[in-house]
Amino acid sequence: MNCQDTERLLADEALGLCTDEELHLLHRHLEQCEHCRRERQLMKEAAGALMASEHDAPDMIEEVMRAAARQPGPRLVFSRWAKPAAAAAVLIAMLSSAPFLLNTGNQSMSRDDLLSSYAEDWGELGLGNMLAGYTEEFSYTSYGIPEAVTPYLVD
Amino acid sequence: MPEIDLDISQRFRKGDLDALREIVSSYQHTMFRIGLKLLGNPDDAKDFAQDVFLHAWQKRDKYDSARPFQPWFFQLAFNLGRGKLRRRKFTVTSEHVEPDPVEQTAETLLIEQEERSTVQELLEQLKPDYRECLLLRFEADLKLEEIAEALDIPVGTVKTRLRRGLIAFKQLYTTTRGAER
Ligand SMILES: [Zn+2]
Repeated sequence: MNCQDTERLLADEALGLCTDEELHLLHRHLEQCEHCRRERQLMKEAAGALMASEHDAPDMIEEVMRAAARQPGPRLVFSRWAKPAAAAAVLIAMLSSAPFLLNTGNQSMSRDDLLSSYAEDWGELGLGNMLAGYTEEFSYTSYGIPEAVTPYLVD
Repeated sequence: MPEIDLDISQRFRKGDLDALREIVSSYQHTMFRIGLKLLGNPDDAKDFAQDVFLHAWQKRDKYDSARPFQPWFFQLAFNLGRGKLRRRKFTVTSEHVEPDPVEQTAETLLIEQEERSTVQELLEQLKPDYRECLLLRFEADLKLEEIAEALDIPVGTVKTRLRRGLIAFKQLYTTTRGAER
């Protein structure tokens, strides 16, 4: 077994995925390879950093329950007209975002990234499902949303 | 993490607040810890966890109650997590403020926070597919089969993603720590 195969086994060992046979092979290689013994230590430290934190969550049950109780339910969340208004608010937030206006090439977030992150907000607003009954009437453009933007928005 | 059985998940689907309470109580620590690894600080982690529960509640009519609850729930959580990370990528560049060392009273707190944000920053550099597998394994303590079910991928793919994800993370982690020393 060479050092490259060993890297895979070291990862599997840290993940608890090795068979007994693989462990045996691994240990035989480690006995004679200082490089891999050092790699094993680093792998252990990395896996240790990923291990479940001991932190318990601050108790959030009552807060969540209060917020949930205020929500009437999936089908009743927004009225017919509140929905497009909320959608328009997202669009205004999106259009007034600096990268959108500047369109510079070296922003850490591209225009596409930005659009897709807002597109998710559109998704969260559930336009597709909640307006199911109004699909013939509803179009983004009728709310003043530029046609160029609509391909990035949920249907 | 006590399991959410079919009785609870079906009541949840129908809008039973007691069922939601059981779900929050079962998953609040796991979701908070996943939030810590994804976002790096306790305030954002708590917001994340609460948002996950409220989103699930809002979208409960999308849950097929004939199927296990957990995969649906984790998928919803990771979708939310991806959205939060994308949005933050945009805001952090303009609003990022270094913590003021004078205001930290306990040095250990500071070190702990630094370690946590290092892990978070490195995880953020992994592709979501790898990051999410690692979180489900290490933070949610799921078995391979459960991860496969939650992400709707074969067990073999889970193994590959975990292995590649860990090797990549180890390289990032080692490099970062080497640079600090
Ligand atoms: Zn070797």
